[in-house]
Amino acid sequence: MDDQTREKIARVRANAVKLNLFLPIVFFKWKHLRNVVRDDQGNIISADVIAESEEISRSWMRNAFNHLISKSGGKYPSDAGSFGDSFLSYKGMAGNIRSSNTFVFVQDGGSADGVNVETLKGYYRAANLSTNQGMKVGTGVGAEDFDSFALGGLISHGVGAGQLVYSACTLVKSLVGNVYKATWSRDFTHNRAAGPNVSVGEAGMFMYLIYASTPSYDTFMFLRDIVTPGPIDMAFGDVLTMAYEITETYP
Amino acid sequence: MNDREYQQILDELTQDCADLELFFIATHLKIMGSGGKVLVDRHGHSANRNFANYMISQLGSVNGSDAGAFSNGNINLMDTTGTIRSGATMIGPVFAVEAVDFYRGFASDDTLGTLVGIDDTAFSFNQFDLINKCAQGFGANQVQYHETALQVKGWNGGTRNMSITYTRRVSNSSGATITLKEVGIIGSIVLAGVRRKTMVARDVLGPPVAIIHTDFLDIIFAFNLIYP
Repeated sequence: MDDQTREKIARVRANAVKLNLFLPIVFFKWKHLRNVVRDDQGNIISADVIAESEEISRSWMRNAFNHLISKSGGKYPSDAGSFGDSFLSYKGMAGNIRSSNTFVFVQDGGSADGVNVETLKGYYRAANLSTNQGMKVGTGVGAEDFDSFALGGLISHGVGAGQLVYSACTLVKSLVGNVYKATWSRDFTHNRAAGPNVSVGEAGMFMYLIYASTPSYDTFMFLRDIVTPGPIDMAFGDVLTMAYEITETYP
Repeated sequence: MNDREYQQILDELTQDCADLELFFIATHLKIMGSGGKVLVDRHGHSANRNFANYMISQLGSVNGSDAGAFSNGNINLMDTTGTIRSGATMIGPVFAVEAVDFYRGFASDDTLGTLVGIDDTAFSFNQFDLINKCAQGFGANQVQYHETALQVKGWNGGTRNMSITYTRRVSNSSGATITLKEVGIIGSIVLAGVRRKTMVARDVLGPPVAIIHTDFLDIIFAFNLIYP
């Protein structure tokens, strides 16, 4: 991230505070590790950092915008069959448009968001091995598109060819100065000795929500970023640690 | 901060956000008199800590679980009684946000939805209720709150703004003029499965707006989000 961008971010934060505006800024961070040494618990105790990056994420998707206005303003995402300008709806990662004229999308199917979103059932939280929600990676390198609803080429969990092992998606909360940070992280490990290498060109953050009272769940992409410099060439034993740092500045 | 200063900062912020592909939730306040005259039409000046905590809980996927102070670093709510509320769940709206609930107050309900008051104490980020709210009634400085109309979604293709707008009528049968100096938005926000009446925005009117006896005002409050 260059100095000009840092200065602009600082100015945005200061101005948002002056006007009392909710203005989330997200940072996309990753490290490509090689020669990884782990302890007997599987924790990384040493590694060589092959490449790393920390950039502002510029890639909130339409799903995220619609979620935020639906929640902040209090409006059902009721535009059935339409996903685009002027419509309030969501698009699941399989391309299905989801809408409701009876409730806002939530996690638990109950009367409210009465769920612990920091547990394994949460919005971004994903368990070990799960590619259902949380952070995911893909092979795609296509340009970011506001209406995207899926990665260009999802890399699935596993030890087969072209797969990576997904760790749990975990949360760290912190306050630095007057900036609150919710940092969601996940490791992706190449664990197939026979290869081939896996190319990671993109990452995304997915929220898991109820869209119908049955209840029926779908997974919605909220963020997508192209890995730069990239793509990352993952060899056997390599680990890719990724994080989305979602921040809000308080007065 | 006057409206001109506000606009200057907003213009700079809007440009920076366009460059960085960021967004923000803005509010807008409009007050119309009984004859259709626009008395107030300006940016809302003040979503508060409750609103910020509610939003970061939603977008950051964090619980409103900090039982400590109502201060930076703690995600929780302070309801209109001044009590800090916390719990190991996300902060969310009631399930049926378009029912007469959430930001929509019932007729005669002076605890929920758009409410008015007579105090012009400056806005503070930690305020949790109007400073001197007009109660429902017919006595001095009391008003009649009508049911908040069903919220309306709007889209402006030119500015690319999506808005959710609430309108509530407030009448005066107190026998004297009432000088309104503040407007608040109180929502039914859910935390740990319990509904809490929570103020999410308060605007100090400058200059004040008077409602004469037997007259009414329409308070129109909008949440806005500009799309790329």
